[in-house]
Amino acid sequence: MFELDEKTRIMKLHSRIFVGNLLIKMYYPNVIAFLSKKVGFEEAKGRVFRIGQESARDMLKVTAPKIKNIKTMVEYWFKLMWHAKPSKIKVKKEKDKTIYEIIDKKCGVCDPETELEGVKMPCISISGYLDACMEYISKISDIGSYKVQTVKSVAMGDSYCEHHIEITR
Amino acid sequence: MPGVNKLSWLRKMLIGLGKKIYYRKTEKVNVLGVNLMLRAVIRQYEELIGNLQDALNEFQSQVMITADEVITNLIHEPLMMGVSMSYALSRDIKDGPFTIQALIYGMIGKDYKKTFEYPELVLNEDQTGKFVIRTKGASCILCSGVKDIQAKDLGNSNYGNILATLFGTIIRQSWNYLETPYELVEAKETKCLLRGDPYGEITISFKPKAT
Repeated sequence: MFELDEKTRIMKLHSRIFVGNLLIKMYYPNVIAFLSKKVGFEEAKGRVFRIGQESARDMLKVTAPKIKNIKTMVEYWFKLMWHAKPSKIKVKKEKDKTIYEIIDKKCGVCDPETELEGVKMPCISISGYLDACMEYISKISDIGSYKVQTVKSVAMGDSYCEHHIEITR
Repeated sequence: MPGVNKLSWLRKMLIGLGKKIYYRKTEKVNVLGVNLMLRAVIRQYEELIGNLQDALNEFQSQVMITADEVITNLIHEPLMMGVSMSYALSRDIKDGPFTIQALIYGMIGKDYKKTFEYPELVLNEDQTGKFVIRTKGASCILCSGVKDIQAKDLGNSNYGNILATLFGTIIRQSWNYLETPYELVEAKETKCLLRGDPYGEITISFKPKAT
């Protein structure tokens, strides 16, 4: 019991500490390249998405925010993960759906200088993070069905990365 | 010959200031986030390679190649105000712990005190020796979030060798750049919480260069 309490305490401590992003920028392109080489990019995409999803699920268990609002949750996540807000969140309401367009001009994982042959949108892991955030909210609030996807990426020559959360009621 | 023979108090003071400014300006990512992401990545590698030991070895060999490239840039290219990391380097081995501590600060900021002990230098009479970098108790930035790995799963591999590789690469490249009379023997994780040790530890051993 003591050991578990101590582990939880340390995880909480680490959720409040930030390290230079060099570590991520150093190993992330290798991960994408390795997965793409092993299973092809289409399957690698799913695996990279799961990497984000699994790590965000575990992180949200530790920090357990009491947030039900989607925009607030996205801002919370960016602040928690990168100590920064996304550049812009546009909310587009349509008849039967709402789309949250998350524009990120300082992507935490994309490195425009690293060319990954045959790889599109390496920051798809961020969609995985956001999907876990939506899953978290859906457990405490009825938000309808949702779909998260990355639509733009600086690694593909776009001027910023963009992720969409589509809510259908 | 590049670099200085010994870090003066003035240079140490400037490094002390520089590491704070560097950390403040640098892009950051959450420590627990990296920790959990790393575990999720290794899980994918395990699925594709078949076991944890080979997955860790594969990942580490990839990190080793990239670390070399990244550290070369850090040493030679200006980090801020036209100053590169080489400003914090000296040929005096006794400056090692100070420089390593400054590097850790540059990476993790003032919270390094909550996660790392001050680095230790063990210097033998024959000039062989080692730098020992320990985590503050169980506060390991790499594996604090790992709950599903047992010591037996690790085999001969080390979860923390990723960090050991990073420190080892910095020291090896710095010494090459400075043309010091030492060479790196090995950088590896020597204690690990996942193996049941009370703290994590990285040991970087060195010896005098053969003349």
